[in-house]
Amino acid sequence: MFKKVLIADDLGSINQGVISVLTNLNIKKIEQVQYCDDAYLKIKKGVLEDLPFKLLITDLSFKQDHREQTYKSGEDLIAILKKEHPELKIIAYSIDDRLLKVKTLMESYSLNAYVCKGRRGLIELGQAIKSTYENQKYVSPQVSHALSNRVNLEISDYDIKLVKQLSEGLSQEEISNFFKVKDITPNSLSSIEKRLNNLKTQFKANNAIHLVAKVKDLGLI
Amino acid sequence: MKLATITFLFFYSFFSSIYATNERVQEQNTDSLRYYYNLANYPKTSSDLPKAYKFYINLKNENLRKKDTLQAVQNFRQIAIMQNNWGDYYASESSAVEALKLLDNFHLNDSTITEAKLGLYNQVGRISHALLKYDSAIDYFNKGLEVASSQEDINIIINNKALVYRDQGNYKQAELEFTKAYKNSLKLNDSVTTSRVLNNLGLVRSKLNHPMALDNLLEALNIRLKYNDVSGSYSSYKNLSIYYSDRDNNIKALSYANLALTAARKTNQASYMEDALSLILNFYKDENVILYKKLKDSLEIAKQIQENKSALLKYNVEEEQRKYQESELQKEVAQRKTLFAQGLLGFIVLFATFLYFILRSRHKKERLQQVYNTETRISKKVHDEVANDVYQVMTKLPDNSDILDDLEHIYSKTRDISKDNSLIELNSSFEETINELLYTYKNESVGVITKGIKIVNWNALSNIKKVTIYRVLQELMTNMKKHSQASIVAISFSKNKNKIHINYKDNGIGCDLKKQVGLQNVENRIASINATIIFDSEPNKGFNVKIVV
Repeated sequence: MFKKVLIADDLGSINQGVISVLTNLNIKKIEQVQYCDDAYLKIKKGVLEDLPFKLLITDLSFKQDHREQTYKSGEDLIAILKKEHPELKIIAYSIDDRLLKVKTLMESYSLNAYVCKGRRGLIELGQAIKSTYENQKYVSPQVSHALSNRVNLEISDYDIKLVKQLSEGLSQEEISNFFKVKDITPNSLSSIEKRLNNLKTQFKANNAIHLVAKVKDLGLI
Repeated sequence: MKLATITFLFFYSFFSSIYATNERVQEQNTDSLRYYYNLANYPKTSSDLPKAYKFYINLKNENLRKKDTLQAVQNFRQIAIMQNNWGDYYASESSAVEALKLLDNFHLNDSTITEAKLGLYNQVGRISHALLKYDSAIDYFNKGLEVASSQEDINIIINNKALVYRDQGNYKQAELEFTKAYKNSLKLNDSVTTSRVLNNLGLVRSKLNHPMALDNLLEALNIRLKYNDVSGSYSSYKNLSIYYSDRDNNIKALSYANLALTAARKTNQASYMEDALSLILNFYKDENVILYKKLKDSLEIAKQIQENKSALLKYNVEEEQRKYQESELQKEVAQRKTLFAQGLLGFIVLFATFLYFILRSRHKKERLQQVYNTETRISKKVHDEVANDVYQVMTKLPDNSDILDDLEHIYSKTRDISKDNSLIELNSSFEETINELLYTYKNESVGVITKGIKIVNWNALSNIKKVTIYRVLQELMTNMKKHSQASIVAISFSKNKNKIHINYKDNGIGCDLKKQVGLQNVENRIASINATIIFDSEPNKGFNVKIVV
């Protein structure tokens, strides 16, 4: 397990919950800071003393007060640390559950784990620490689809053409032939059938007629 | 006959004064001035005068432009002399008067100015005399007397003045003036002036039957003979002839007339000779001669009057033309000034309008930015202070507590409020930002479909527009989630020219638009970026929104 862990969060009491999680995981050396700049300096100091922190658990949003900060948010801190000390593992622990935020942090900064503060937040944090120790990425279930590529909501031109032919009374077989003539791919009967089934699910349509009606109602064709 | 005498008397004063002033001018100017001066005053060929005239006109204009008033006055005088010499009295008078006007601006008692004024008054008076405007002639000579200082000048003017009285038939006044001039000339000990004045005085006294008349005339003749003044003696003989002729002593009159002819021949002056011959002809009682002379005299007078009239007419026409051209020029200048002023005014108005719109647009931008900043600031505060505090309480409660469920509800609500107004990711792909926004509304019961999100060039949009589009879509989706009961939502994007068209459509229960006040917020946001939005809905017909940015 990690030997030395740093917690950065501007609310001390939340850290208490985090500390209990860490203690349960048998981690002895735990330090905490309430400012990003402090976290940055502590990590630098650890590297210089040859006793580097192995893990950083940080919030993303820090309240601004009288102390002027070089790194104003957890994101700034993650960006600079991942650049200067790529070997340091970092877990973000935040209220923010916006998918794009999660996606950006995980992909752009190679963040190790993203845990949403919530009712199950501490349990998830424990799992995140374990996964991170095993060099596996972890993301809280409620934002897990941020990493999947199925975020795409866009209906393709192909789908539009398909439904359009359907709306004009063509059977699947006729559509297949029509696509072949127009050189539109895929145009095999099986792939058209598969595609239509997907569309039915996507538009929550019970059958082809229902699908055409819905797509038409939405003004897509 | 009269004119000849006047001219003779005049030249004496005029040339002497002009020459004096021209010496000064010549010091400053080049040889060309002397050349043209000679052309003007001692013309040898017929083209000399026009040449000199043109030169002086140009010189005058140049000096006026250079604001060298004194030089311009001298040029005017030279021009007036030339005009006078070829008989254009009206033009000559005008030139001289113009020069006097210029001199009015000088109040200094400079000798050059005084001298110029004196010369000009004398000139104008003389012209007025020639034009038979006796009263104004006397007027000018009086003005001349006011500025004259030397006895010579005074004498000349008095003499000229007396000549006007004489021609007017006012012999008494004429005698008075001539007597004055005579007394003056005696003081000066100038034989030429004395004899001239005496000769004139004698003639006037003769008309008045004064006993001294003959004595005066004879004395004048004696002085002239003594000093061998041929043209002067001609004049004396002539006057003596008139004296005897008036007293019906034809024998003596004829003998003096013959003497006058002899003197005239010596002077070799045609006009003198013609004058003398005409005098002699008076004594021939031949009917034809008398008729001829009568006709010639009356024709000459008629011719002179005609010439004067035509000269006046010509002068008036020229003057009218000049005034017309001047007024045209002034009109044009005024027009140009007006045009310039109008242009300037127009430019200022345009500029002010332009500035107003720039400032207004800048102010609007600042205001929008302010709104956005405030939103995000409050959002962060809700996030940092409320949501975190709630979470802090949650962590303290045992896992199975009922309150924990309620708190979690409050927590997620707070988080949603914060999220609604939080900082929008503008640096990364806006397409993804929108995609993510829409994705969060997709769940088991609601399907979200987009069309054409990739064909819009989101990078070309300003941040304010991006934020507005984001907020409007957010508002619409939240609205959909809360009220529509829709099972599917489609948002299609398209480009038309430089505009982005966004079309929102759901299959929900729709609404009565009149009752919708929540969409006011959306409308305000759209209006702030000069975009348009159209809501379209009827109960059970879904909800449709068209936005053009």
